[in-house]
Amino acid sequence: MKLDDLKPAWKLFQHEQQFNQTERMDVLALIEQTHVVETAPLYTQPLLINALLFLLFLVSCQGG
Amino acid sequence: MDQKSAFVRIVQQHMGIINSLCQIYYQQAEDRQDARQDIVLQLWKSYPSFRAESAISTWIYRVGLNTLLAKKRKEKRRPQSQAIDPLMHGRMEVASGVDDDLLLLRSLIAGLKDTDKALVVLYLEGYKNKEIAEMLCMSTSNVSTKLNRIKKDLKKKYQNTNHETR
Repeated sequence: MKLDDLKPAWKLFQHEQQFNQTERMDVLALIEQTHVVETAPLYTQPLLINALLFLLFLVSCQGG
Repeated sequence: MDQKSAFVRIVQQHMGIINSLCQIYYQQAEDRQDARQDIVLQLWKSYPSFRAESAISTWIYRVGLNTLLAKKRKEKRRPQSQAIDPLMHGRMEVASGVDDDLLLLRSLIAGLKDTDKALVVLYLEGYKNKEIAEMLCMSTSNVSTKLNRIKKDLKKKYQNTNHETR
């Protein structure tokens, strides 16, 4: 057997995968979801919340 | 047509490539779904810089394979569950009488190393060694050496599989 002999099988495999009903995905929903995550306001990000809480803690320590 | 609609159309037209790559690198449906999402997101990120100097399918192969190889490298740092022996899996299916060549292809490729899978896929797709080298950021001589070794390995595995199933 030569590797070239498997080329038709590869084409068949790829053609099968093009119409694979169980492996469909909503491309538009996926990229729109990413856009929302990327443009989400900074205050929703956990790292910033932690930093703000830490600053609050420092300020309250100074006050005491 | 806006950028998003054009992108969605391209991806849907070439979903066969993306699904084939994910099938080759992952056995579990959930893993394949994750891999597919990663590839589509990487394609979306690099879409604005796509200049159409190469064919769309070449761009999808380049981004897809490099995404999968990076993902696999990351996963290797984490402990993995035991995968099904691809050769054994192939043999079981061959015995059930489904398309032999297709199953042989799947089982042989699934048994290769991650980078070797990428080389074989691009070779079967008809790319020249120089093109494969550019797509995977390797030297042309490295590609031809590796492909020769893979061909020998596959031949040996094929002979063994054929021998054992008789």
